[in-house]
Order: sequence, then structure tokens, then C-alpha cells
Amino acid sequence: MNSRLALSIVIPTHNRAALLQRSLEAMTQQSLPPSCFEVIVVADACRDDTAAMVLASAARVPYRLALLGHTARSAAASRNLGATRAQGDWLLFLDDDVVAEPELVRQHWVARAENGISLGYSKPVFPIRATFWQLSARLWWEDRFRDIGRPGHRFSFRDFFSGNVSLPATLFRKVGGFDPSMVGRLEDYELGIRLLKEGTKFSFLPRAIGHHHESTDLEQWLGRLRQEGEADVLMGQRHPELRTMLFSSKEPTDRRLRRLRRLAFDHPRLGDWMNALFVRQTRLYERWRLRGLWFPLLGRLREYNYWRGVSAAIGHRRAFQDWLQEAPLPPAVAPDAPVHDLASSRTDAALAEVLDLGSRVGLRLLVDGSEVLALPPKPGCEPLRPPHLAALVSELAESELIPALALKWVRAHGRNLLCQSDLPRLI
Amino acid sequence: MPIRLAEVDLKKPLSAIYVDPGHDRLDLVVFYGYRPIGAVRLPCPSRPWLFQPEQLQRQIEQALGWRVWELAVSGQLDRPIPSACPSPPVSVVVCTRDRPLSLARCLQSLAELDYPHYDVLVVDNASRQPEVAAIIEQSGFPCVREANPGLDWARNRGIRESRHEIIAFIDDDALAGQGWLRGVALGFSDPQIMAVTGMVLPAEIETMAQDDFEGYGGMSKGFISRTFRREELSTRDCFWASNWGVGANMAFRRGLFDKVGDFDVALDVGTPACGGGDLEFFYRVVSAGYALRYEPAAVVRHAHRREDSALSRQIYNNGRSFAAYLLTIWRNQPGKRVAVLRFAALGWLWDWLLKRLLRSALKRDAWTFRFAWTEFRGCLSGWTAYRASRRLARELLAKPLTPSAP
Amino acid sequence: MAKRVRHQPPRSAIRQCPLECLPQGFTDLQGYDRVLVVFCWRTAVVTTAWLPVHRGCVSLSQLNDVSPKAAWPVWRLIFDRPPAAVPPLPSASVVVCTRDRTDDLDRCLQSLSHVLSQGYEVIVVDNCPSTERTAQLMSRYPRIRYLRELRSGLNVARNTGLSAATGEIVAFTDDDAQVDSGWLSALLRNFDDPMVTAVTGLTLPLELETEPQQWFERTNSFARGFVSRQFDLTKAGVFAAGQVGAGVNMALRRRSLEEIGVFDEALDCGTPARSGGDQEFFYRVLARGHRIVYEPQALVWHRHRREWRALRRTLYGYGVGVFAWWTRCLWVERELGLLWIAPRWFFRHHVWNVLRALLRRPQHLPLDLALAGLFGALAGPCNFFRSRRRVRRQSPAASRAPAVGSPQGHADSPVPAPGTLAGQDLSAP
Repeated sequence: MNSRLALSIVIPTHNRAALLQRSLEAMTQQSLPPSCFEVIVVADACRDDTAAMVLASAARVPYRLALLGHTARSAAASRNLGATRAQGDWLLFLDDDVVAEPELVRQHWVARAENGISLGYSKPVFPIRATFWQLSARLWWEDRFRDIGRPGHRFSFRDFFSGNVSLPATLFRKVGGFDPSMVGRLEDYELGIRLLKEGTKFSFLPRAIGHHHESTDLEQWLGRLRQEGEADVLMGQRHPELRTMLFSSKEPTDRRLRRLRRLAFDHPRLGDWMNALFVRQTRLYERWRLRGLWFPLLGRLREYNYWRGVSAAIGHRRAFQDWLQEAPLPPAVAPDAPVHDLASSRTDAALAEVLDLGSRVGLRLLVDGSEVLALPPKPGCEPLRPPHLAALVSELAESELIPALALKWVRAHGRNLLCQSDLPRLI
Repeated sequence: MPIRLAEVDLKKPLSAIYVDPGHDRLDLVVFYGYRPIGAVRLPCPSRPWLFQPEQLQRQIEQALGWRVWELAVSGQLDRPIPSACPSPPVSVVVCTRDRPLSLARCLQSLAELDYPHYDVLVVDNASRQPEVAAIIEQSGFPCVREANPGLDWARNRGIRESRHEIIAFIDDDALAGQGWLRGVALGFSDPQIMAVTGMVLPAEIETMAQDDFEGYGGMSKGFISRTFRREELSTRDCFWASNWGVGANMAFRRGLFDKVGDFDVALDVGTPACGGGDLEFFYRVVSAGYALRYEPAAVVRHAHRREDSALSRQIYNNGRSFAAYLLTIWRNQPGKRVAVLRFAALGWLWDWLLKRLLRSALKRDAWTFRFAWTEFRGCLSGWTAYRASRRLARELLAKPLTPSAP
Repeated sequence: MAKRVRHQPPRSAIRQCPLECLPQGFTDLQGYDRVLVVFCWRTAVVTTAWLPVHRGCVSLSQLNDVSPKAAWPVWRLIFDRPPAAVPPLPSASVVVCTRDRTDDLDRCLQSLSHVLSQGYEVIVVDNCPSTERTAQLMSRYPRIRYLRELRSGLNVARNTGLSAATGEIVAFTDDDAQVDSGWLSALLRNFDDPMVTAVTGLTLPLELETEPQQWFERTNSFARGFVSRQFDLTKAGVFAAGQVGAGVNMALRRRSLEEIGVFDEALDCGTPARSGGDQEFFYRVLARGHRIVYEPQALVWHRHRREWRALRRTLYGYGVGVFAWWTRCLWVERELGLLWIAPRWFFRHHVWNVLRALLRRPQHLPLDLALAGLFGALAGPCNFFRSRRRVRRQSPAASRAPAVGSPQGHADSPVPAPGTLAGQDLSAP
């Protein structure tokens, strides 16, 4: 192809020279010709030999490698800085602990044609001596990517992981880049919200595999949860329409967890002391392999630390509840919302139009004339498209659709119901 | 107060249902052809109210959609009666005493049954009112007169006088559904089943007493068909014959009476025991090793007692007749006395009567307490009633056989 | 003999029943007292039910009364559509470990003929044969690789099979089992999730002709339900390993074994520990953060032991095996949770069975079987240590399967590369 440099890879880093070296080595193994991409490393207040190592590598590697430095102590600011100096018209953000497989950059390169946001697959890699937390984190990450990779997955801002994602540089600049004031790791979610508001299309590249060498452990993760609590508050302030949705999914499910939330708001110091105690206890449980006690305790620690972050950002419980009440009501299905009967067949264009309208004002789904589900508009998700509907039907089939479908099929086929070779499938 | 009762058939398109003002609720029994699937309760304000077909459809789907699927998968929906015994001829026996109006309705419903091969015999159990005879004559069904007072006497007479292989009993205050005998034939499609009981739904719920009776359990034993066999029941469950069906809707093969005997004339309505004859017979059938099937497809509607006093008396008689039933087993089956005693003390007195009494007293549940207490009092009178009943039976049996009136 | 047959009818039949057209009942069951009805829909088993037989007949009403249980499995099957782009099935090898059961092995291999015809590799590992009968049988199957493993132990044989196999996925079945036609593809299609390391399937009894077979099916049935389930660290405890399935019907991903390790040679048949080798492996899969899927469409028919003494030995073996692999977990992996779980299981299962037998509660296990389980459980820990010593004496190098989280990790006994077999390859050239 042309040898014009089109793809700029931005890697923010902070005191992880060894891992960064591996990442840079992996860049030399890429199947895409090195003339097509450049790598910009942004060293953020690095005290170790990152700078020296990068400069030494720059002499050896076949691709253009630049080093920028600053002391903002914010990955968001680092990425923004890297983006301003990028020469390519396509930005690929990688984390310094993601070691790319040879096909990764080529996959992102090929996906430029879609002109949307391409999310790569960051496979979690943990050391051999994995702790309980690391094992469950690995399962969580793999399940997350499997969900995203399912056909018909409706992308939401929570799918925007900035460790392995590419997007057009113009779009990035248009929405204003990452928000440096977002603490914790939620600057990517916040950017995702803004990108979705622009109406950009998301896609997932299952073959753009990077090995994500996670080095977090339980304590660091709990700290990050606190930052997530604070960041959720910031996001709620910046995007009020998402406020209720951000916190409704985190609502505690039982009485004990609700008490923990109250503790985080009303008695933070006592809570912090107990938190430290219980974290030590998890180590004990882990040593004795008492999983049956460890997992519930993890759930409680997670709950407490998240709400501790929220309370640090907003203050008292009353203030938090008032703040939530001020938010605009979650959008409900409008009375004149469009209606779609799953059993009817529409042309693709007509269906796309109905779904598009439905994403904005709400959609009523029917089966043979009887309503099964009213879908309110979901802020923070991409607009509904026909593939999403198929996945939704599949998911609903196991619960809400049972009554309507069962009766419909029985009436249609009677005694010969089970002999049908292909029961009428919806979509 | 009144509750509107209605039936819908899923095989036909649903139509709107209008509910008069004053009704609190619509109780819908959902059928698929002749097979009842379940019941749906829809509250309504006391104004004149119209339920649209779409609303009904949605409510039925929500409540019974899965049950319809289960029946469809198990092959029970639309299941035809096997060709081996398509529609065996049935003799219907109605035993009546001094209830001309109910009897008229009952006979009317029996005339309209959807079944190819059946006949009806009315047994007049020493009625004193002359209208009864007139009504029977008007209906055109054959009648015999049984002079000895007692429902079981009448039933035994009906057994002797009827013709066909299968004998179905129905009470004179009940209305047979159109598919009643089809349900009975469905139950008998398995050649091993010797007795079939059916579902009894309320004909109307217009007074508090009728609603209370339904709330207390009513006469229906559910929408799921079951077969009861001695080997499959625990020792305790073997005695709970009241769970297997009611005498208002039962059918037997003729050969069964040769094997286990007739109904016990010391029990049931018309005797001091006031009931229990059907229970005692069910018990005998199952304990002799035969199979009894509860088949909800055999639907009959029963007019419950309208007044509170009549309801109390009914519950009282339930307690009394159950005691008499247990005493009959005690007498007839000496080998089982230990089991009867254990059941009477632990299963019936303690688990059913006293525990409910105490629990409702503690929770201040006046409604349950009233019924539990009435039944308990009935139970206490069981012994004397049983003795009186047996004495009467002995006297009647000792009398020379009088030729029965045609 | 009389005291044994008192509580249990002499013969049970097994009948298949397609839901699409239910038969009008079965009338050919003279001489049987109960029947295990296996309901199928579109070649998948959806539910089973025990029904009493009355005078040689089972009526349609009886079938109708139990078949609603199939409603949910059928519903799931209807919506269990494969993803839009079906990934190609991975390459696979099937390993059958055998020891002196030539006739059973013959039937098993005949049922595997469709697997061979689809191009998959089949390996038979003969473990310490006492005669040449199996070798003679294998000469009739030239396309099947025949290996001989002279060290005694089912897990030793499984490891030999693992190292000899060339496929990405290795499926195991026992020599006294017969596989159904869709078995291997049903197992293989669950491996598209990268976290899945093991898939187990549904095992139903092949016959229930003798009383011991019925007792085995009643108390230790291999069936785990009719709806597919997933097991991992976060959803179920690692000691759910007993509920995920059995070694008679399982498939493993070879690549993951580097992280998890191979079967522990101190466990399972042929060693003093008698059984538990497959369960201990499932435990390690779960403890290492991997996933196990139970796929009921992968169907295998297992021939339970026919004689009473064999049944008693089997139940004794199960008692020993469970406590042996728990001892291993406690000793090697330091799973202190077992100090709570093991006594609870002992009392609630073994002691309670013995008590019920003594008190003659309804449908109790015969006393000698309950006692066999109890004595086995008591002997479990010692037998494990004896087995370990025996293994160490035999081959000091490849002695231990790695402990979860141990510093050496998998360095001790990695999956041997093909070509470095412990046994001899005796397949026809």
C-alpha cells in the first residue's frame, strides 16, 4: 500500500520500563510494514530508566518511535498529549502493559475503512501464582470480551477500553479528547459517552489480540474502586441524563450491603479502619484457601470501597440522594412510541427506521399483537439496529417471551408442535 | 361482593367479558378444548367493567403461558382418547332428596352432555316433596325410589340398577360440564385405572359463605391430574382420602364393586355421620391396591351453600364425617389400627386441626380460626355420631328387603 | 440373598420415548417392576423418569404425568442456536483406557466407529493387561492406535493417552461405556470459549437388568441434569467438582494442561486410592480459574457393574476415592476448607445412609453397601498416602502433579511432548 504514515500508536507509561520494553519489542514483530505506523511513548513522571530505554530502542526499531515527557500524573493527559503530536490520521491507544500480537496493528489498520471506533481484544495474562482475585478477574475479562464479541452486541460506553482501541484522529479532536480531570481509570468511559453522543459506530476486532499483563492485586483494585466511585460522581455531574443509570446498576442488593453503603457515607473513618482489617483478613482466607469465605468478603469490600469513593466526592448521604433526585428522570417509553411486532416481517430499511426512532423515544415489542416488552431509550448506548434486535430476542426468549411464544405456538400447531422441524423463529 | 365466574377456551378466539357493577373480581377458568389448564383472577372495580380480549390474552399468557407449554410438551393438549376404548358407555347415577330446583338444573345439564353413549338413572332417596317426582318425570330419565334414608343406600341402589360398565356419580346440586364424561373416559383410558374423580368448580360465588368455602379449599383438587396407588403413597398420605376427590364427581368400573364391596351405608349424608362415605370408599379402593385417578378434565360445577349457617354446618359435618371415616377404618381393618391411630393423632388431629387452630389464634387470624374451630368441634362429635350411624345401619339392614318402587 | 431383594424389585427396563410422538404406553414389560423412561426430542435427551410397571404395562397417562419435566430442557434446546458464524470444530483425539475387559471394549470401539470415520484419532491405552486378549482384539481395529502402559493406574493410563494424542482436544471415555452418535461433536462445540478447559457430558445406564445396576443408578447416577450448565470459581465452589460430571464422559483442552497439570497418578482405579482421579482433576481446573461446561447432548451409555460384590467394591472405592482426593487437596494444596466440608459430608452422607439402613427408613440403601461406603471413607486418607509412596517408588521423577499456586508451578511435570511416551506403542505399523 502507500507508505504514508497513517496510524499513530500512543502509549502512555508510568514507571514500567520492563513491560514497556516488551511492548516495543512486540511492535517490531508486527505484520504491518513499519513505515505505516509510528509509536509515541508519553512518559508520565517516570523516575526509572524509561526515557533511556526508549531512546535506546528508538535507534534500533524500524518504525518511528518518539518520546514525550510530562509530569501531569494522569493517563488521560498523557494520551491527549500524544494525540496532539501524532502525525497519522488514525489513533491507536495502547497501554504500556499490553503486548501486541503480530496481527494487532494490521487488524486496526484494516478496520479504518469502517470509519468508526475499533475495539481490540486485550487478553488478560496473569502470573503463574495467580491469586483468587486475579483468577476471578481473568474470568471477568474473558467473559466481558466474549459478550462484546457476540453478534448483535449493543455497545455502551462501558465497552470503551482505552487499552487497545483505535479511532479517527479528527473525531478524537472534535470531541475534545480525554478529560484529564477524570480520576481513576474512568476517563475512557467518559470519552465513550461523548463519542456515543456523536453517533459513532463501534466494532470489535477479535483478532486484534494484545496480551494484557495485569499486575493489579486486590488492594490496588479496591483503591481503584474508590476512584471509580468518585469518577461516577464526576460523570454524573457532567452528563446528568446518565446520573440515575450510573448508580442504579450499583444499587446494593441485600440488607448487609445496604448497611455497608450507609457505613461508607456516615462513618467513613470507622469504615476505613474496618476495611483495612478485612483486607488483611482476605489474605488469611487466601492462605488457607477458604474460598467460600473469601468471595463474599470480596463482595462486601467492593461495595464499601465503591461507596466510599462516592461519599468522598459528594459528601453526606442526604446530599447524594438530593443530587440523584435532581437528575432528570430516566427516559420512559413515550405514549406514542413506535411498535414492532416480532412476528411480522418488515423490510430491512423499514425496520432500521423503526428501531432508530425507537432508540430515541422508546419501543414497544409485541408478539402476535400482545405486548411483551416496552424498551425505554437507553442513554449511553449506541442506537438500536436490526442485529441488536436479534440478540435481544434471543436473550428475552428465556424469560419474558415465554408466555407469549408458548401460547402462540401451541395455537398455531396444536398437537404437532414438537414435530415442527423449525419452530417459527422470530427474526 | 359477588364474584363473576367465566370460562374461556383457548382454542377459540377470545371475546370481551362484561362484568356487572358490584362484582369485585373476575375468576376465569381457562380451558383448552375440554381440558382445564388453570385459573386466573382479575380484580375489577365495582363499576360496570369490560375486559377487552387483549387484556385477557395478556393476563392469561402471564399466568398460564408456561403451563400451556408444559402440557404441550408432555403431549396432553389435544390428546385424543386412544382408539382402544374410544368412548365407553357410561351410566350416570344422580341420587337426590328434596331439592327439586337443583335437581332440575342438574338433569338439564345431563341432557346436554357431549358424549355419544350414556344413560342417566335418578335414584330418589325417600324424597318427601312431590315436586321431585314431577321434575324427574319431566326430564324423561328413569327413576328408582330407595326408601332407606342415606346417600350411600341410594348409591348402592344406583349401582345395582344401572347397566353399563362404567358408573359415574354426580350430586343433585351440581351441574355437569359439557365435557364431563369425556374427561371421565380420558381417566379410564388407562385400563389399570379403576376409579376416576374429577374437578369440582363453584357454580356461583354470590355470597360471602360461598367465597369462604372456596377460600377454605373448596372442592377442587387442582388442575394437575394424578394417579393414586398404594405403593406410591406414604403411610400417612394413604389416609388423606380427602385429597383424592369428592363424591360429587366420581366414576368407577363396575368390577370394582365386586372386589372391594359397596359404599358403606353407615356413612354419608342422610345418616348421623353426615358424610365420609365417599372418602371411605376411596380409601378402600386404594388400600386394596387399585389405582384411582384424579382427572381435572372431568369438570362439574357445584352450588355451594349460600348462608353462613349452612356453611358452618358443612364444615362441622366435615370434621364429624372424617372422624367417622377413620373409625370405620379402625373397625374394618384391624391390621391397620396402629397406623390409623398414628395418623389420627399426628396427621389429622395435630397437623391439620390443632396446629392450624393454634397458629391462627396466635396470628389473630379470625377467619381461619373460625373454620378450624368448627371443624374441631365436629371432630369431637364424631364418635357419638359414628355409633348412632352404625346402630341405624344395623337396624336398616335387619329389615326385610322391601320391593323397591320403580 | 433374600434380605437384599426385599427392598428392591428384581428388574428394571430402560425405554426411549420420543416426545414428538409419544407411544401409547409400553405393554412389553412383563417381568419388570420399574422402567427408566428416557424422553428424547430431536435426538437430544430431555429428561428421564422412573415409572412403576403394573402387570407389564406402562400407560400413556403415566407418561403424560411425568413428561412436563421436559418442558424447560426443550425450551432451551429450541433457543440454543449456534452463533451466526460457527467456528470450525477443533481437532480431537479420543482416548479409551482399558484393563482386562475385552468384550466391553469391543462394544465401546464399535460405538466409536463413527468417530473414526469422521477422521478423528482414537487411542486405546491398555493398562497392565494380564492376558493378550485385548491385544488380539485390537488387531481387528487397525485404524485405532494401541498403546500399552505397564504401570498400574487409570490416571497413569490417561496421562499416557494425553501425551500420545495429537489433537487439540482429548476426549475420554471408559471401556464399559458406549457413545452415542452425536457425542464428540456435542463436546467439541463447547470449546469456542477460551476459558473452557473441560467439557463433561450426560451418562445414562445402558441396562438395568440386575439389582446391583439399579442400586447404582439410584444412588450414584452419573446424570447431572438435562440442561447445559457452566461451572467456574466464581459461580460454584471448587468442590462442586463432584457435580460437574465424571471421567467416563469428558473432554479436555490440551493447551490448558500446561497451567493445570495432568492427572495425578496416585489416584483412581488401579491404585490404593481406587477412584477420584477425575474429580481431583476437575477440582484443579476450577481452582486454577478455568471453566467446565456440562453438555447434556454429549450422550454416553454406561454399563454399570452387574454383580453385588462388584457393586460393593465400587462403592467402597468411591468412598476411598473421595476422601483420598480430599486428603490430597488438604495435604498438597492446603485447602483448609475441607476441614469443614469433609466431616460434614461424612456424617450427612455415609453415616446417615448407615443409620437409615439400620432404622429401615423407606428406600434405604442396603446396609452392606452403606457400610462399604463408610469404611471406604475411613480408609481414604491412609490409602492416599500409601498410593503416593507407591508412585514415588515406581518413578521418582514424574511423581507429583503440580499444586495450585505452588512456586514451582508446572515445572515439575509438564505435559510430556508427543514422542516421549512412558508406554509402548503397539498399534499396527
